[in-house]
Amino acid sequence: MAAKKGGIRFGSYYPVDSFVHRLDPRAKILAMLAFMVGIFMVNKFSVFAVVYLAGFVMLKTARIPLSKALRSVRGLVILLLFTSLINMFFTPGEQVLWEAGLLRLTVEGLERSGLMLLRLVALVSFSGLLTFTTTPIELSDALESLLSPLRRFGVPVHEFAMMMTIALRFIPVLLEEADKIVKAQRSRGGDFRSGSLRRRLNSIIAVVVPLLYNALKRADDLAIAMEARAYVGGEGRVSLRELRWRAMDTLALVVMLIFAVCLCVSHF
Amino acid sequence: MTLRLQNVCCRYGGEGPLEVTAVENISLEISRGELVGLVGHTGSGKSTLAQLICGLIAADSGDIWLEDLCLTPLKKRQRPKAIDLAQRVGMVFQYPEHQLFAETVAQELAYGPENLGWTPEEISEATQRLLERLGLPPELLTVSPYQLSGGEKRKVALASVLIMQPPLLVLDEPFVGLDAVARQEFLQLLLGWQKENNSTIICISHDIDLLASFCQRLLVLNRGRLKLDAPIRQAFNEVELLEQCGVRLPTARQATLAFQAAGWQLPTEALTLAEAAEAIKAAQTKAGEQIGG
Repeated sequence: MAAKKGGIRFGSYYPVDSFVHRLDPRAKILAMLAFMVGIFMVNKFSVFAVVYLAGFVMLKTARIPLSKALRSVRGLVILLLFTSLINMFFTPGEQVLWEAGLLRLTVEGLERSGLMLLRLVALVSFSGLLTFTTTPIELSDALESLLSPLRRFGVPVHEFAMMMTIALRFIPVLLEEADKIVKAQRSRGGDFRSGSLRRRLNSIIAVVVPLLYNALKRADDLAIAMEARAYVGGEGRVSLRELRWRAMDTLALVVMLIFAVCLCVSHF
Repeated sequence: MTLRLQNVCCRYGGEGPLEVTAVENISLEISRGELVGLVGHTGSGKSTLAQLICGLIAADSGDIWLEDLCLTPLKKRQRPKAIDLAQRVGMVFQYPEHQLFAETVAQELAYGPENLGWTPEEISEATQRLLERLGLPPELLTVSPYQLSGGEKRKVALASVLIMQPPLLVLDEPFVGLDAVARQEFLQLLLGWQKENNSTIICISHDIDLLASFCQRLLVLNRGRLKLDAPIRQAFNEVELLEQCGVRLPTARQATLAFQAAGWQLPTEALTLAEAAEAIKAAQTKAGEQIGG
């Protein structure tokens, strides 16, 4: 999402304090997975009413403004429109409402497209419950912890998590740097929006080359700095931020699991 | 070329808990050829103000005029184009060497003028002149800018902006990372160029001694507000205000004030060490006469 000042913002963490913010990120990831599966199984309008009600209550608990959660839907408008139109006109059905050539509008089509729309909007807007309330670093810690059983099968879980943490850590740095270089070249008359193709291409090169050069140099520095502090990989490492599982997390997860199971059951 | 700001405000982070007001209600006017220092502690809004002046970010309210070019039109579509801006104002960012990209120094220097639509002859002539001005050997032109030393890189990056001869030049911490000798050299090159073009210079720096040695006017920012805008000699009389804003007095001024506090009678206006020495010597002579007479 490009912010107004030409500065580019990454991630959607919404820094307020709430019950949901304080939950263990592992609980949040598992609960979100359960919720998503539940939403996928819903196939009745009446159940969707319950899903939305629950979703809004959770957003409220997390103190996330509704407008912010719905904003993520905005980027998907075209996709949503496309899928609902396809569903609307190409679903085979008995009760035909309107027909023209290949296009057939049926009651079944309307129903299916409505359900699909509700499902997608719910998925997109409520997934924010995880990303708005959890910092990227917490997420990567939680993933490392959740995936750690795979270590037994030789999966380099720690290395993956470290890569993810480093990548996440440096995305804002690189964005800031890109922003600075764009501005510097702009003040030298570089223009990405107008002018001939050759000029525009030249302007892009003027940003990409120094950005890449600086990123590689930074990666080199980071590798040396990590080695200088005797980093040798995951073996025997402890974390500064210990994830702590509390009773609240169990409770929240259990409630969500029950809810998700109910949603699944409603399918049949 | 006059620069005019009227009630300029600028915020970051959109609405919500991340919102930060970086620049608040700033009005000022700077005329062509002035040498202006811009100081304030970190996060006081200096860089934001600099970028506003260069048209690199948009103000939330207020007006900014570069002579006849409005940087803050009501309609987004009327925002000035990069070329119109680059003709009027150049910006040298912190660590400008991080923006170098071309295969050779010559190409690096040509980037700006090419964007402005200069002919190859004009560009090569300007390049020659500028290299001479900055004391860089002509052999440098065929070298990759990435192969240069740190100081040379900085000079080339500066040159890549100076070559466009902007009537207004804004520098954000241009001396960071240079040693004392290189700083002086860099400053002298800059001032030589400035005299030739009669350009306005707005310089952000934490090196208050260096600013005191060449600026005519000082702007002090604190928490996004313009706290002081005065001729440089008077500006340093506001000792308390400067302290509140986290701005140090120049060493020369500190020295004369210390002498005064120790009971000496001497003017405390000094900006440079030479001036301070002069004042102390004069006071000493006078004291000697009094004892002798």
